[in-house]
Amino acid sequence: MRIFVGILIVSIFWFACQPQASVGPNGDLSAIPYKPIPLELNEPGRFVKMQVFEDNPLTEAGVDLGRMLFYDPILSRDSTRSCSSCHLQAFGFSDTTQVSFGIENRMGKRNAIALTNLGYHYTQFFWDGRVASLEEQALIPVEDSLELGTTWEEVERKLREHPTYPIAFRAAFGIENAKDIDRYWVAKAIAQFERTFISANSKFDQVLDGKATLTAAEERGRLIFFDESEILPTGECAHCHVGPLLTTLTFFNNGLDNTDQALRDVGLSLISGNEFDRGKFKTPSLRNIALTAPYMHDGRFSTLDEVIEQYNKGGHYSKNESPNIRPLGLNESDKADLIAFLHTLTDTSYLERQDLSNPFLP
Amino acid sequence: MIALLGLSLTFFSADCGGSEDDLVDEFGEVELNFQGFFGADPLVMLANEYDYEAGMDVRFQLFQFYVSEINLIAKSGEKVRLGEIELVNFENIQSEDAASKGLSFSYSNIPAGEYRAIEMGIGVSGDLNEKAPADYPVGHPLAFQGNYWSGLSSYIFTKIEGNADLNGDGDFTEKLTFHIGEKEDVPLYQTISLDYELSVSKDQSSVLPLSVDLKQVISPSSTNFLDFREVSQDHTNQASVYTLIVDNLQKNAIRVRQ
Repeated sequence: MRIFVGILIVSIFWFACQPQASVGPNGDLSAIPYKPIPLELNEPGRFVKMQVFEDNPLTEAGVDLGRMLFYDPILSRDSTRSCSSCHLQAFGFSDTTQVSFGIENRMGKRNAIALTNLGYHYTQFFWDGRVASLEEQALIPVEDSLELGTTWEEVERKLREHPTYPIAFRAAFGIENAKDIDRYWVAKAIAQFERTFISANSKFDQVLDGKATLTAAEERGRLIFFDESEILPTGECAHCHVGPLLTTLTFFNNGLDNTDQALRDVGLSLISGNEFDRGKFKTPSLRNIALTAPYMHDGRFSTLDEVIEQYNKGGHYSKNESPNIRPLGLNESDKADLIAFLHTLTDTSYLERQDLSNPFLP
Repeated sequence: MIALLGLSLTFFSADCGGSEDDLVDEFGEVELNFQGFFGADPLVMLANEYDYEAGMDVRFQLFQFYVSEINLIAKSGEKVRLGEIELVNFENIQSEDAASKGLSFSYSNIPAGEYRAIEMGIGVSGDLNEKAPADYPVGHPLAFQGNYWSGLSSYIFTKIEGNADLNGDGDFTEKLTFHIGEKEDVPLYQTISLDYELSVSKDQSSVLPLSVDLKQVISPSSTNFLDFREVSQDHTNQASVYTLIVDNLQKNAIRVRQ
């Protein structure tokens, strides 16, 4: 409760610092000037250029609004949880618990996936790929009983009646009246903010840019990771974790379980209805992987050592297990070097970016 | 090289004077349709198992390859570009119904007239292979990171993945992954030409039906095949493996469907 009151006070203070504007009678916003300023992202040259969403172009006010909504527990039933409760910036916007917890400490079903370079994920979000866009993604947790546990009608009511949010929605989207605030504008604002989650300044990025050098162990690990040595064992990692995003963005059965048998979580198959998708999950990015433990969709592994050991064994056979999952023959030195390389994927500047931080904190 | 020379001679000796073979200033659509096979059987990922050589059986999860610089050859000899690059990917062909429909690529604004052949490069052409996924917008066949080796600066021209039952006991636990891409000293791109009489009419769609036989790629004969008991993986580092795959994909596997 104290947190909620604190956020309310800070949010009112934050809005008070914005250019003077006020909500008119009956929620009228039309007297407030609407002058959207496009936001140009500083996109890394190595990335495939981010898709332009004509129905939701990035603007300064839109991103600002999305940032507030991302961090504001107003989206939860009891004002205790927000998006940021399970996506912690200090941990690459991942969660530190095996599975995430929602309101009233309700235990979720999966580990919160780390949020990095989301604007480049052009298709299928969530571990099971249930939605096609960030805008659709942002609609889901609010009404999930294990997450924010409320209804959109209630969230819309709270935002419409809020002393300052209507002004922010006016600035972001030009709505004429507070009653025009709806879930779709909320989702668009959060999606805009999330499209600014660009991480491309790890040591590995700096090496690619010629600004840093890998240690001998890191380089050995890199060769194993990318299967680039004729002498060292192949890690087979880059079949799925490749390119600047360190993910193909596609779905694989990575051999965690025998998925031909009964499964607690069938992954993509639940959405697609295709039996050949059983046990397939979206390949996560490995950016900031050293910070995003625990690992896998169910958070079953606490450390990178456990992850590497799992892959080193070659996984559990299933009909649709990726054939790229095979015993690797890594010795202790190989494993240590592979992990050393994985640590070069940490982008500390991403963890410290002020424009991604909680706007309600001083 | 001889084949290319022959093709060039054919091109230059074609009748280029005005005739009924000339293309006209009207446009139609051409659909390039690939159906996959494993021998006489439709190629179906995951659902179907196939008899293989030496008592082995095989099941596939992925078969894909790039085709580049796709041109129709008019009877007049004129070349008409259909497309720059396509990824022929059978990964989602998981039923016989899907296999019978095949994979289609449509091209509009194709000059109406009479055509006699199609030519295309199997793999990623040299110019395109000098680029990288970041050079392309999302959705482009060359934008997918999973088909690019950044360390080698090459796209992966062909992927074959699946499982083998090495002794016919129903146990498909042998994992197969063959990824073929170009290395500095391993040029693997080649243009093929297939004869086919195709008539393109104004505002009409014409289908050019092709077949791709994966059995021809990995097992062109009972004495010349990938022996999974000896090799189950290659990332273009075993010449005998990638040469067999590339040569047979380019020369034997792709045909006009009758």
